[in-house]
Amino acid sequence: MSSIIRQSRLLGIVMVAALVLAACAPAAAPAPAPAAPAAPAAATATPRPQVIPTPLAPLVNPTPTPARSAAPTATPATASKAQYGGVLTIGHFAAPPHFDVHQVNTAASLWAIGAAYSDLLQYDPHKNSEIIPDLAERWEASADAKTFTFFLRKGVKWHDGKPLTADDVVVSYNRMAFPDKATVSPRQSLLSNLSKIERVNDTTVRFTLKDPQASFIPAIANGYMPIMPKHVIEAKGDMKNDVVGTGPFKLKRYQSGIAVELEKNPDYFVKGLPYLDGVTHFIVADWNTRYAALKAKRILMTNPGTPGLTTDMRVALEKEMPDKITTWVHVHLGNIITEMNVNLKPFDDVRVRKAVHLALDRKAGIDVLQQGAGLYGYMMPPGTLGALPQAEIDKLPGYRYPKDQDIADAKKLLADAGYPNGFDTKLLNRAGPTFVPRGIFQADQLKKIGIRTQVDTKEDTSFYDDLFGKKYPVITYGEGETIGDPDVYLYQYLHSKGSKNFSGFANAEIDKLIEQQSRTLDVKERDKIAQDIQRRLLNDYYPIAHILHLVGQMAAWKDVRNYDPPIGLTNNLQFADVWIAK
Amino acid sequence: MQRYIIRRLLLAVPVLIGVSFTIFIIMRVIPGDIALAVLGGEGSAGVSQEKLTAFREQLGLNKPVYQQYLSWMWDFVRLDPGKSLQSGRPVIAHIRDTFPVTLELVILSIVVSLLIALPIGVLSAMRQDTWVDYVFRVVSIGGLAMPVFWTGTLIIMVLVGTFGWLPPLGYAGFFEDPLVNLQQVIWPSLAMGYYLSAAVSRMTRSQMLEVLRQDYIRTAWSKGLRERVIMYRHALKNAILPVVTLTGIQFGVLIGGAVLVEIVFVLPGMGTELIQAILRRDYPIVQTIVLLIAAVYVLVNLGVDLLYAWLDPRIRYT
Repeated sequence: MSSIIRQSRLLGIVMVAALVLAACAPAAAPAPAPAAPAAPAAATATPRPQVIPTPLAPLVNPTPTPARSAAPTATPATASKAQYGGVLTIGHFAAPPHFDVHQVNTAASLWAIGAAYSDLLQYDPHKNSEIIPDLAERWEASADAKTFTFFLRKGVKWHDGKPLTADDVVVSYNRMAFPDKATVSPRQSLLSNLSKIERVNDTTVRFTLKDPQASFIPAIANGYMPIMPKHVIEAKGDMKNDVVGTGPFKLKRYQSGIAVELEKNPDYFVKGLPYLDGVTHFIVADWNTRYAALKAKRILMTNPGTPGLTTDMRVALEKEMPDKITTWVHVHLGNIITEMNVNLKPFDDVRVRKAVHLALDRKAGIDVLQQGAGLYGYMMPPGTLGALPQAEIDKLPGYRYPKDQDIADAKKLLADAGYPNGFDTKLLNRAGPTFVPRGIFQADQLKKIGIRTQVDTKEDTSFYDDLFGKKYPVITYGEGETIGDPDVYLYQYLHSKGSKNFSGFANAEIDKLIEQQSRTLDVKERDKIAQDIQRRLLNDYYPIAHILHLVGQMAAWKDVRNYDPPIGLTNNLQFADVWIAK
Repeated sequence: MQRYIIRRLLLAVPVLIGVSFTIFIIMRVIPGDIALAVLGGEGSAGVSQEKLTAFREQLGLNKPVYQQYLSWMWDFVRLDPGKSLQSGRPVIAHIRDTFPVTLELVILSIVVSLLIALPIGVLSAMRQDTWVDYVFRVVSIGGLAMPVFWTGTLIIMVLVGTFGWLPPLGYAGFFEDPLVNLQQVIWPSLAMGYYLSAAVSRMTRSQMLEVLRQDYIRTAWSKGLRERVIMYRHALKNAILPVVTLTGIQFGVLIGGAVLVEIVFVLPGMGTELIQAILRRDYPIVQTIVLLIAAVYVLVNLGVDLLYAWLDPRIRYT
């Protein structure tokens, strides 16, 4: 009897001790922020310092002439200190659905294998606003800016040893611009102005456009335009399960749901690079686990963009480990918007749409949805070509503070439109911890002017079904875009043929202006037209109420050297000149 | 006994057919266009109606539902459940990659659960309404009350916060690298085992209380047998049958339901694969995994019944 009593007492003591130990988790390690932010608080929540990254220089929009020469192949200024060796480990937010970058629109695929591919051109990984050569060592444009000729580097090999030729470029771009029945190309609209692509000789390719397009060079420099091997595409039909590129790293192993392991490409066309032995993307879907893995140095770096870190996590790292970890806030080129269906009551009335625009508190949105890290403006992200000046934005209705005048004006507009007591409506929102709070926030904002909103939150497949069916009077939407250019933000969302024009907005005058700015090669003139378009929308039409522009937050151990965060989410993926200090 | 086993296995066939038909219909009834989900997803803006129509024809979605079902069942019977609509990889490859991970996690979790729950249940019953009983009941209720993903996150926080350590990322099979494998699997097993142990310990306690009141137990005390012998050889053996049933049910549930722990601890298991396939409307993977889970349930139930016969000699099957 006594031994049983002793055992039971001991077990009981152990249990109690375990509970006490768990409860006394060290205060030095504050809990990571939960993956799903709490329901948005009122705008009077404790204000956080607004984190605004350094404004961008306008993205380069090079004039067609003169010819640009290849950047020197010399390694950067820190090269003398660069060390060879080591594997860069990154916490990757989701498993890639497949590896055919031409057919996919998710960073889950692009980031995992971006280092294995090269584009014709690329954004400078250290000066994000400049475009430099990649596979093409130089390019020339015709005087009418409708013909671009790219001169490929010589002696470039695919990872399987076969030589790169102009045919690979032709096949890759035909795939993206003129996909066959079996191929889906999310970039088709970006290349809709392309008339044909021709092989001039083994190392020269010519692109002919239908009309001059100022954004053509920035468009093909974004990371979603890799050159893929003709011989593999023709043999396999697609690249969903094959990774054969010309990038600084090649695929070593893919463990489904676990990790994408890339190893150094010894035949990379830039001699002396890469410094790293490899890059491994560990698939870690849970935010808190990714954060813990970074702190425990199981990964050296997070993803960029919104899957990187929350503001709380970044601030905690800056407080606890400032000598060990570097953090960044960078421009994401993503946004959060409200699109109102101009063909459905009551949003067919511009007064109602304007009332919604007036009601939304952008600063509260940044505080609640992004924990203080974000930018507000209209369609073009602040600092990009065509963005309205911030001083002008701050004076416009909808952006004035305090919000009392905007709210009063909004109520009056609703009354004039026949809704003195507001109305009921439904809002379509996307499921997921990143998106759910957006719908809640908007419903909360619209309540102030009497609009009672039922938020229908749907998982992706149902969401896109309803989105493309344009079944809802109002939706909350937002994506990370490829380039910060009016051809993306204005054409896709506001042109009557735009692929993301879910409001159904169609205005011949606006269409004409959007097309005009696309063909305007003079940067200043183009900037002026793009701003003019947005002023007209904010004066007369309001199909979209813009809430905020996202910023990305990421971190890396200080051992990782020579890395700068990207602008947007589709650039700076190669890690060619990144190195790890030992 | 052999006839009994064969009969049970044959009875499983209509069960599996019913499950297969149910999941087949459900996947086609739930909202969301499969073609849009597969071809577009976040890039849906770039997909034309012609491509969507062509893809639906390619999948045979324009055929009558019964034809689609029979076609799929015929392929399944020939052990060719098809390819993932998303990745193009064979479904078998997806299952081969994920099922062993989940199986190992579930087995270890059950073992941990029994190691915690049985002693707690027995001791709690022996010391009914004493402080020992109260402490163990609080611990049990804690296991039921705390969501398993929260417990898992807590474990990670303690590991990182106190020891500055986290298990290696990625997954190494047990036969590939046993040490790394155990480092990776033991923590989620603890989280899940604690969660499971709550119900098992409660069941053990209540069954033990019932058994301890029986006359033969009084007789055993009167004979002067040691307490350990009475508890574990006589009482527990008679109290264990419902616990075995409960454990069998938990096993079946976990095979498809361990997704939260898999996500927190970065284990590429079948639960995660199933959830992602459902969200992507990847029919072949969903249908195959659900059938596999149903088959596991059937086999585990059979195993539980056979275990009954071993534990209780009065039970005999013909």
